[in-house]
Amino acid sequence: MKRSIPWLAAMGLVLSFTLAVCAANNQPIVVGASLSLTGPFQRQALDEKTGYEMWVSEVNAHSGLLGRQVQLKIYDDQSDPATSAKLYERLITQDKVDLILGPYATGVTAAAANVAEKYHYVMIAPGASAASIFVAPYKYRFQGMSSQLQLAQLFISLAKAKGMKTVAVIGPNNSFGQEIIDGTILAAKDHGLKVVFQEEYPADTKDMSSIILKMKQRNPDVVAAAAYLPDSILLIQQSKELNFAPKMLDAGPVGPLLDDFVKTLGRDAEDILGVGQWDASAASNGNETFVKMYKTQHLGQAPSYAVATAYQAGLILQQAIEKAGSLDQEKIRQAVLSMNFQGPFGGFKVNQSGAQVAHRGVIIQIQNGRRVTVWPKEIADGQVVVPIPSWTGR
Amino acid sequence: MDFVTAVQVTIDGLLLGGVYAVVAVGLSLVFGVMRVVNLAHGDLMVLGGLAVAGLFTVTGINPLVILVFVLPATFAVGMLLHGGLVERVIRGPELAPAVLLYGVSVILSNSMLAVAGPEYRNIRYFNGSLLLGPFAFSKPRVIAFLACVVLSAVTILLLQRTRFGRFLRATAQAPALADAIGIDGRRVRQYAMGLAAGLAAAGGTLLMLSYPISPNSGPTFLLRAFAVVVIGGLGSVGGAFVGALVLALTQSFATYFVGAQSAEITIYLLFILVLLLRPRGLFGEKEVNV
Repeated sequence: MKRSIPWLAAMGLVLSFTLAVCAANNQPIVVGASLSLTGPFQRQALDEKTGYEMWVSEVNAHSGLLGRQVQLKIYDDQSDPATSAKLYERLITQDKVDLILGPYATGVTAAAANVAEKYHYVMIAPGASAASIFVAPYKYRFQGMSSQLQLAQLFISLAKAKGMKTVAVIGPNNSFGQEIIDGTILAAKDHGLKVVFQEEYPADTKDMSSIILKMKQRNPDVVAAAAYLPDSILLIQQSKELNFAPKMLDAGPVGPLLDDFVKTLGRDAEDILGVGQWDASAASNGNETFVKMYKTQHLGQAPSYAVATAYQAGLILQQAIEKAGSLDQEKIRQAVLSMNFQGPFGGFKVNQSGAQVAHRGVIIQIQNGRRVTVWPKEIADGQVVVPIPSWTGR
Repeated sequence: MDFVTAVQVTIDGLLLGGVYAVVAVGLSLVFGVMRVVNLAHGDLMVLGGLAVAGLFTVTGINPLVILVFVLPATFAVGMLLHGGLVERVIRGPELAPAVLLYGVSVILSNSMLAVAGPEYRNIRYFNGSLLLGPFAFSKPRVIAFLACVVLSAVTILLLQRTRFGRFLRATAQAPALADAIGIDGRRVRQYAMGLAAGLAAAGGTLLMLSYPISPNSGPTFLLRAFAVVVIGGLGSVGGAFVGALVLALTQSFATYFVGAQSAEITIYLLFILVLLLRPRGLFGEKEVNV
């Protein structure tokens, strides 16, 4: 009997260990992220948070991930890259989260992704458009959206398809404007369109009339403006005042995709084009269901692209884990690399260094006060109106 | 540059000057006459503008009519702001009022964010342009320009031709002397701040006719407005108006000829040049030594 005591002890130990492992497996999977809950990126980051939460509640309603419930752990990075990096460090080393998802904005993502890289954690990054941070030798960061160059390519491909020959490119004199201007010029060259005018202006300009007068003299078929909201509104108002009506007018990646645009411009917003990552009107895979789900939770309001890209980042992570069959970061990484995903936000396929190659973005046009996705064809829900009617004919 | 374009650039420049002037006139009163750097001026503009825009959305009445009813309220806000806060620090260190008003600016903009949200709004009432032959005059900007001429004229008359104006200038230039002859400096400054807040609200409203603003927009107008006031000359409301036109015309022509980016450089070169040649600005009052 005495000899069996060590055996019993050993069995007890094994039993308790097994129990502990079982208990651990019933613990929820924790997904960590830092988001800009305060500071200049607040608006978009709060939308990303909503997107993540929508994904989590959907996963948990459908038997969870690998049979376990999913829990979010989100910290506020105050829109600051360095803070975000610290928070991911804390999530990974102290909180020991099982998985991470990306923050919002290119700069913040760049800082956070370096931490992910250090600890070999896969980071699906829904909020970074700059292709420059998804390059070798990085291996664990994956871009969820299009780069500005890809979006410019998309817009110019529409202009080309509509027989446009000349283009004027304008935008604010900061990195945001510069990247779009450069992308548009490059895309125009690729497609054989001639750039007849190019100018940068201060981002907080209160007047575009002189620029419009100069454009008017060059008579471009297409105007592509890399504008924020106030300057996009100024561009439309003053183009009307000075009767400048190009055949296609793209008011940028911000204004036309916001409800504020139609509210402030009324009929003058009609037929204006916008270049975006995504729109609620796009006919992409599962988009209608996603938009409907959001609307029922938000008093009929449509989601912004930031909600959609974050929601999709969750879906991508989920599919990669289901494919990998485990929470092993290496296996998840391999699964992400081999994925070809079509979701509400559009396509997802990355190259070896994690840059996005399948997402295409959308060209929207304001038609009867509503945004309509008019390009690319495969996810369009309406026909593009080109040339746009004169200002008086609206 | 052909004749028609030259005239059009001039028209656009003058009308942009009107936009700058609506911001600068109220600031000129506080900064130029009272010598208080009102860092909350931009936020007072946004406050007045958003109030008028909100009432306009609900009622659809001509925003200029709404403005007339909003003005007394903003006048009261300015009086309270001065009586409650600024006056208490005005004899403190030189920077105290500016720092205090910076705090007010942060509180105002964040309160407006909390109430109205971060969206951009404008007042879409006057729309399109008046055409005279080949020349286009932006309707919202013509209205803003004319309204600003009227407001500046009234303010100048008030400063030059009334007892209040004389008292205000006296308290600003020689506070001790003004006290000695029995002027209630506190009361005078309080009215001036009320007036400036009213002008700010008018500026915000006129601005929103042609430009969308959000609760965050206040500071973006301020720097340019300070430049306008300094070019025009401290103490001269009319100077602020002229300064706005000079600055805007420079911007329009520089943008046309050398590009929008270089126009910024041109504007501040002009700014430095004016200060070098005329340190008190184009219409600045001579210092009064007491």
